[in-house]
Amino acid sequence: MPILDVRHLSKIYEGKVAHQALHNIRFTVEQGEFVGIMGPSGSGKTTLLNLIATMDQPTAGEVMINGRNPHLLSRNEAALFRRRELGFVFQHFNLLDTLTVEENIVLPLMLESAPLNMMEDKVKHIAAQLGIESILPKRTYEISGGQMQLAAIARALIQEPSLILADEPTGNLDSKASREVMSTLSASSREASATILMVTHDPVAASYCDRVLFIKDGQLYNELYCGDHRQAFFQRIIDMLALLGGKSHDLSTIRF
Amino acid sequence: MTFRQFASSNVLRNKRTYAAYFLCSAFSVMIFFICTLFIYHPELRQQIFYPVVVQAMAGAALIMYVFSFFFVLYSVGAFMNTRKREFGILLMHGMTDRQLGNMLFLENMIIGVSAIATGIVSGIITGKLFLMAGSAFLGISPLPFRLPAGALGLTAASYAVLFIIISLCIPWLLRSKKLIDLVQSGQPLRPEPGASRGLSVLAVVLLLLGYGLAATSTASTLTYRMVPVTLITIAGTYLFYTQLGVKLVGRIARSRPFAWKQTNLISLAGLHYRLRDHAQLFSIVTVVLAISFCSVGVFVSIPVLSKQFEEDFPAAVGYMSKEGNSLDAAHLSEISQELGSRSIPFEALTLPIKYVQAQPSRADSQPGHLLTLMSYSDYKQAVLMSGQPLIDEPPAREEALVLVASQNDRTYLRGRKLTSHVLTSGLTLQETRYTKHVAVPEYLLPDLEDEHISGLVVHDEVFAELSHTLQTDLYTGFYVEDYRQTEALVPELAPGGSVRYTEGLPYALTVSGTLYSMRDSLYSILLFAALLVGTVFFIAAGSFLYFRLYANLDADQRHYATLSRLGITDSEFSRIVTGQLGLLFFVPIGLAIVHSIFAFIALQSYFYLSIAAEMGVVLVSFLMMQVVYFFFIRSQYLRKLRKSMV
Ligand SMILES: Nc1ncnc2c1ncn2[C@@H]1O[C@H](COP(=O)(O)OP(=O)(O)OP(=O)(O)O)[C@@H](O)[C@H]1O
Ligand SMILES: [Mg+2]
Repeated sequence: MPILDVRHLSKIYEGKVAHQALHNIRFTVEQGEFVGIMGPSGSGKTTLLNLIATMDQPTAGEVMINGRNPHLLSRNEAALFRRRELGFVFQHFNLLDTLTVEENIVLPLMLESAPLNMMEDKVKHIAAQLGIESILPKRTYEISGGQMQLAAIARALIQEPSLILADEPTGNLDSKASREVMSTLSASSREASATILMVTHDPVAASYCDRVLFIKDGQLYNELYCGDHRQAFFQRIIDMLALLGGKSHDLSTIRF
Repeated sequence: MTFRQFASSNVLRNKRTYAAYFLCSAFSVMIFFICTLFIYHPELRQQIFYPVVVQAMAGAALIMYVFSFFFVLYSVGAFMNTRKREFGILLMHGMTDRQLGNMLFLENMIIGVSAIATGIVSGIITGKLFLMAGSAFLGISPLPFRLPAGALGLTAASYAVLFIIISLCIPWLLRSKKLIDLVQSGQPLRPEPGASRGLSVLAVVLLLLGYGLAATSTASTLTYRMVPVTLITIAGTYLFYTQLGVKLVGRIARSRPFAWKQTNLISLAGLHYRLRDHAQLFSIVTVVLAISFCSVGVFVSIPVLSKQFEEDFPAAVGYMSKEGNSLDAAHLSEISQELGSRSIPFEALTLPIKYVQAQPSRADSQPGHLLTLMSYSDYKQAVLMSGQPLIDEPPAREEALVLVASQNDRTYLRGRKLTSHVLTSGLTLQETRYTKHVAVPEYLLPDLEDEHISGLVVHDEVFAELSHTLQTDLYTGFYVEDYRQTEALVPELAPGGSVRYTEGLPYALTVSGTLYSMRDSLYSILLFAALLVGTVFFIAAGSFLYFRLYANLDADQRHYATLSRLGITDSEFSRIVTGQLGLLFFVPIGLAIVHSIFAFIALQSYFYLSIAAEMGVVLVSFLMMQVVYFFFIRSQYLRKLRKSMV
C-alpha cells in the first residue's frame, strides 16, 4: 500500500474569478520514497502541498495517507493527524522565535506528552544525526537560515511521521547551505526510511530526489526517475524545465 | 495622491492599532466635556452647593486633562515604535525627515480632531444621562440638558491645544533614530530577556517595605508617609515585572519536567518574552489601575463619616451664646418659633460652658493654655437628651473626662497620651479617659491647643467652685425626633447650616439638617467626580492592554500559524491564548488590587468606622468590569488569530 495516494484531486479557488488551481491530479508515493514536485510559478505546487497537509479542502478527489483520508476528519482530529502523521519543512516561519532550537525540535513530542527522558534521548540522537548539536541551546535569531532548515528537518523527523512535506526548503539558502539541507533530507529518507514530498524550484535540490513530478497549469505534466546517475538526472530535469517553459531565472540558479 | 490623503489613508490602514487609542482619547474628551457641562450649567449656578460642584468638577476635568496629556504622549510614542520599520522604508525611498514629521503631525491631528469631535458629540448625546445621574447624586430634581457655549469652547480648545502640542513633539520622539535602526526593527531579533537576582530581591524588599509602611501608618503618620510609600511601591512594581517576574517565569520555563509537557512551554516561553518586552507597560497599567481604585475608594469611603453624623451633632439645632451676647433671647425664640411653625416637636436644654486657664504642671510659670470645661451632670443630660445611652462613669474630684471633638477624631486619640492640667486655683485635674459621646458639636467650641479634643468634663462640685473663669458661654440644644427636618431652618442666622465659634460672631450655631444635606451633596459630588475620573483611568489601562495586543498581532498570527501547521488542536490553542491573555489582563489588576488593599488599610487609619465593606464593593466591581472586558477582547482576539490558522 502506498503511503500517499492522491486520487483525481482538483481545487478551484472561488472568488470574483473562479480559478482552477489543480486539475485531476493523481499519483502515489511509496514508503521511503523521496519525491520532488516542480513546475513554473503559479502552477499549483503549494496548493497541492496544502491539500495534502490538510490545511485546505479539495474541490474534488481525495487524498489517502497511510490508508486514511484526512479530509474526512474533524478539525480536532485533523490537527492530531498533522501532529502524528505529518512533518513539515517550509521556507519561512518554521520555528517559534520564543523557543530554543532544542525546544522547537521536541515540540511535537511535547504536545503528545511524551516522557521527558525519551524526548531528551531523541533530540540528542537526531541532532547528532544532523550534526546540529552545537546550536541546540540557541535561539532562532542566533542561527543561520540553513541551520533553521536543519532544525525544522530535525523537528519533522523526530516524530517519525508517515510523510514529510517540504515547500521550497532551500528557497532562501545559498548553494552550500542548500546542498547540506538536501543531503540531510535524502540521507534521512534513505537511513530512516522517511517518506518525503518536496516542492522546489531548484533543479539541484530536485536532483537529490528519487523521482520528480512536473506540474503545469494545475495538471500533472510528466515525471522523471533518478536512476543511477544523479548528474544525468539533473540534466534531464533541466531539459524538462526548459520544455515546461519555466521562467529563465529558474534555471539560472544552477550550482553544484 | 496628495500628502493629506496619504496621511489619512495611513490612519485608516492602521485603524486596528489606533482604535483603542482613539476611543480612549474620545472618551477622555467626553468626560472632560461632561464636567464642563456641570460647571457651565445655568440652573446649577443657583444651588447653594454650586461652588462645591465647580470645585469637584474642575478638579476632575484638570486631572483628566493632565492624564490625557500623558496618555496621548505615551500612546503616540508607542505607535512610533511599532511603525519604525515603515518609517525606515519611507526614509529609504527618499522621504525627508521634515516630510515624515509633517506626515505624522497630520496623522496625529486627524486622530485628535476626530477624537475631539467624537468625544463632544457623544458627550452631547449622553449629557442628559450624566446630568440626571449627577442630579441624583446631589439629590436635586433632574437638571435639564443645556449646551452652554463655554463648555463646548473650553473642551474643544483645551484638547486642540493638547493634540497640537503632542503632535509638535513627534519629531522629538523620532529624533536621532538612525535609518538602519528603523529599517531593521520589527525583525524578530530579540535577545533573551535577562534579569538579575539582586534586583529581584530588591523588588520583593521594596514591595514588602511599601506594604509594611502602609499597613502600620496611623492617622498622624499617614500624611508624610503617603508620598514615599507610593514611590517605593511604584519602584517595587517596576522591578517586580522586569526582574522578579522575568526571573521566575524563566526558571519555570527551564524546569523541563514541568515545562516540557503539552502546551506549557509555549505559554511559558511566550509569557517570558511578553513580560520582558511589556514590563514597562505592565507597571504603568498596574499603577494606573491602583490609582483608579484608590481614588474611587477614597471617595466611596468618605460618606462613611455621615454614618456617625448624628453622634457628632447630637442636637438638631445647637446654639452657643458667647458671654455678652445680647441677641441670644431673640435668636433662641426665632429658632423655637421656626421649629414650631414647621410643627416639629422639640425639647431644649441649656447648659453653661466655662473657660479657664491651665498649665501642664505645677512647676510651670508660663501663661498656660485655654481649657473648656463642662460639668458631668450637664454632659450626662446632653447625652441622654440626644437619645444615646450613657455609659460614662462620673469623674472623681481630681479627675476629668476628655470630651472628644468628634467620633472620627478617636483615630488621632489612639496616639495621644492622657495628661494633667493645673488650674489657677491650684487644683490638678488628671485626665482619666475619653468620653464615649460628643456632647456639644465641635463647631460650637473654640479651638484648643490639642485640636482633637473639645475640653474636659469635670465633677459637678469642681465645676461649681471654679474661680478665675475667663468666660462663661451658654449652650442651648434643641432636640427633635428626626434632625433631617431642620434642613434650611433659620437660613439668615446660619447660612450654609453653621456659624463656627471661631468666626467671631457673638454666637455660634449648627443646624444639623442643613449641614447634613450640604455634606451629603459634597460627598456625593466628590464621589461622582471620582467615579468619572476612575472610569477614565480604568478604560485607559484597558486601552494600553488592547494596544499592546494588537501591535503584536502580526507576530502572534505567524506564531500561531506555525503552531497550527504543526497540528495544534483548537482547544489547545484557546487554552494557550486564554492563558496568555489572562495573565496580561489579570496580573496587573491583581497586583493593583493588592496595592489598593494596602492603601485602604492605610486609609482606614483616618476612619473610626470600618471602610472594609465599601472597599470590597469598589474592588469587586472593578474586577468584574475587567472580567467582562477580558472575555470581550478574548473572543475578538481568538477570532482574529483563527483567521490565520489552518
Ligand atoms: N487562496 C487563494 N485564493 C485564490 N487563488 C489562489 C489562492 N492561492 C493560490 N491561488 C492561485 O492558485 C494558483 C496556484 O498557486 P500556488 O500557490 O499553488 O502556486 P505555486 O506553484 O506554489 O507557485 P510558486 O512557485 O510561485 O510558489 C495561482 O494562480 C494562485 O494565484
Ligand atoms: Mg508556492
